[in-house]
Amino acid sequence: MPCAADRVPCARIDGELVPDWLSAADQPWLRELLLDAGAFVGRPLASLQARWRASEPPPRAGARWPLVLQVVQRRLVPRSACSAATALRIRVFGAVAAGVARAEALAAAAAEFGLEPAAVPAALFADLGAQRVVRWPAELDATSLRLEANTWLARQLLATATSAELELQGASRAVLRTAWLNGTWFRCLAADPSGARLQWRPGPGDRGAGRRLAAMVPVLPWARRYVLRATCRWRGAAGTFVLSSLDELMPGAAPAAFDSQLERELAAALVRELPEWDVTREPASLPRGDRLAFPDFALQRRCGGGAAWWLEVAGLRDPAALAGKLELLRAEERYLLCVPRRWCPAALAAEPRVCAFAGRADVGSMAAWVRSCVARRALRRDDA
Amino acid sequence: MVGRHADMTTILERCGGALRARGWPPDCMPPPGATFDADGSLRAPLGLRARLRRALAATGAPFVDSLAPPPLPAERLPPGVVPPPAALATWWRHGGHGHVVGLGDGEQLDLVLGAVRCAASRALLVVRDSGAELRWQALLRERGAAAAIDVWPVATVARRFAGGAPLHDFVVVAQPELHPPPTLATVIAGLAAAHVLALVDHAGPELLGISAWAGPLLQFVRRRAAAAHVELHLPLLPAERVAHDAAWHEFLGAYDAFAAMRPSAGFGTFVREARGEPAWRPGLLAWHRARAVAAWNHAKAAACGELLARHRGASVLVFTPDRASAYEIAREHLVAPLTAELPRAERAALLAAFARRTLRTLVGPRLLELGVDAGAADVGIVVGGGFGLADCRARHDRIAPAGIVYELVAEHTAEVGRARRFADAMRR
Repeated sequence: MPCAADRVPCARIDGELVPDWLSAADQPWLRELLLDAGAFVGRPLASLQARWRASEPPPRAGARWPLVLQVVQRRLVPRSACSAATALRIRVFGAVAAGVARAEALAAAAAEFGLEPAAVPAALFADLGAQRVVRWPAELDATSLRLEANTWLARQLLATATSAELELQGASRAVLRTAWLNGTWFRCLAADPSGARLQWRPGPGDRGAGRRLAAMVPVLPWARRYVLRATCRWRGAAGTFVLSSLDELMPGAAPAAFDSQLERELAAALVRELPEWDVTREPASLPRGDRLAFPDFALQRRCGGGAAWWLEVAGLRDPAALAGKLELLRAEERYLLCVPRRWCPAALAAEPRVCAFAGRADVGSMAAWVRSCVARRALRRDDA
Repeated sequence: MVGRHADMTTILERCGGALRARGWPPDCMPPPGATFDADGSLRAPLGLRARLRRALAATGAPFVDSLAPPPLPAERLPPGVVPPPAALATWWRHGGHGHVVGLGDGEQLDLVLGAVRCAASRALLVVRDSGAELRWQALLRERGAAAAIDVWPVATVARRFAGGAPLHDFVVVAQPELHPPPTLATVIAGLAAAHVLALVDHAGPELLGISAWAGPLLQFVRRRAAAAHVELHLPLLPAERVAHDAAWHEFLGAYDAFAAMRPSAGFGTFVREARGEPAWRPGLLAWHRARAVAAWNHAKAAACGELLARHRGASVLVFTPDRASAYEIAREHLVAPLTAELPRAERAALLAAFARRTLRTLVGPRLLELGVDAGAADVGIVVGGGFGLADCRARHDRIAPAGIVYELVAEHTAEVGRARRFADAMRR
């Protein structure tokens, strides 16, 4: 049975599904389309649809034309549950059916819903399909339209996915939390500070699994680097769809950059203290039994390579979480742990890879300690 | 040749997307479409499950059907119908498949309830649209049978069950003549039900196709007298006439050129090809424009207003060509529209209010055709639209025999010939 993904303009090359992405070269016709649509602000969607039906698609748009129109329509008239219009209809039609005269029914409804009587007939169906009124949203231009259309295109294809593998570095907690909230579960295959490799398989007979996987597309651009390889169905045959950080997608709502002010200040101090190192926030997920841990930072020397370091700043809102952090400290050789002084036992404070801190006032000394740790290790490696 | 022991039980099971029968009896002729594998088992499309079961039952061979869902518990069976419907025994004798033509709403419901009790299985009632779905659900609730019968529109079933394991062993299709045939065929094959019952309202040329999947004709009832039919021919305004004629001539020019190139292709082929071929597209758009002018115009709007005023107080259904005209009439005369865009709860409330006669008028393009009980309205106003003779008959069925149906026809347009053809066919 044909599905929405079959309408995505795409080519199958050596088993890979390569979508016909919208690029900067498409900006001119996208801008024209928006200028045209702008003339219909305040009018019913039906009139804009009639205009689109009658107009000739731009030659460069090709098969992407219906897809772009769909995206524009979603932006200009977003779907919303409008219970006010339903209540208005019940009020007006009920009154007329009970024998009330037209003028009186309109006046009574207008008074109840705070409208002008003359505006009531127009408001009766303002929530329904093509009767909805076109409104110009904030921040709609050719560039954002292009990115949104690309995102939509990727989501349509991913909705048919039957398996996927994700390589992810940076913003890993935000990405995976969004996936979990949408009911998509990844299994961690491998992880190090340069990224994690995760696998996704839908449950048997779960038809909505692909759609839920697709829901994480808007948050992916927030990762520093990602490659999502999914086996999708397109026009009756399977193919591999590869989505990567090089593809131009519209980023969704920005996830919080830091969990706390302490983390923010420490990140800034590390950048100042270690100019030759890259500092990546929430680099990857680390498997810990059947759960995942998300160290706060990864430190990677920019020149000369070498192994990277994990850095965890344990806020310990729940002191019971300390056990898990210590487990990671034992398992990972290059794992640095900062623990609040009041939760840090004396034995733990003596551990060279643990730093006890009192609060934000200690940020400078924490950064210096991190520098000394990584420098000492680098020196030892040079000696060897 | 299949080698098997004489007292071996045949096992029907699912194998990938197909059906496999292990231990098929050698003296039993398999239905066309089934083939033997190298290991001697019979392989067939899922849609042939009922035919395989009937073939085994006819030869008296024991079989186990592993696809059969669990039987319905006795406490969930619908109440019995006394006396049992005439077609019930015949249906069950024929292996639980067949179709009936011309039964009224109540008789159809009795037959479905009786058949569910016979099959002792959860049933799926496939209807054309959400209007019919809401009507059937209300009827089943009234009779305390909602727990035993699921009611879903054909499009929902197609989406939900494509390729999945069968959940219902008994499928009832209401008004199959009104369903899109390819979708219905896909659904019936995909459901792979053991028992099928089709409830046909009016016999037509499509009956032969229906009997191919629904089985034999069990009962034929001639429908009662129809409501009086009045055709009102209405002139177009000069501007509308110009717009219509220009569009119509543009269409005819394009269609003539198409017919010259493809003499054996019909209008359907023209429409299909025009969707993807820029050369034919303006012609198709012109046909839509001409049709739109004829279907909804100034004279029809005025006639509609006059008829609504004349029949104030009566139960009136206004069948419009599309949603936009339904909303226009609703705004102008403040009558409730019934379209698929309305929230589901609102649709159900409107239909219930119309059935209770607290709401006297409903206007809409398609859901009214099956959403309202047959004979529930006094007056029908057919403004335009409908996809064929079956839709036209369904609309007329909503009006009581003592009522009247006004058909508004735009003069000197294609609507005149269409109305005449339909009227002749309905008289026959």
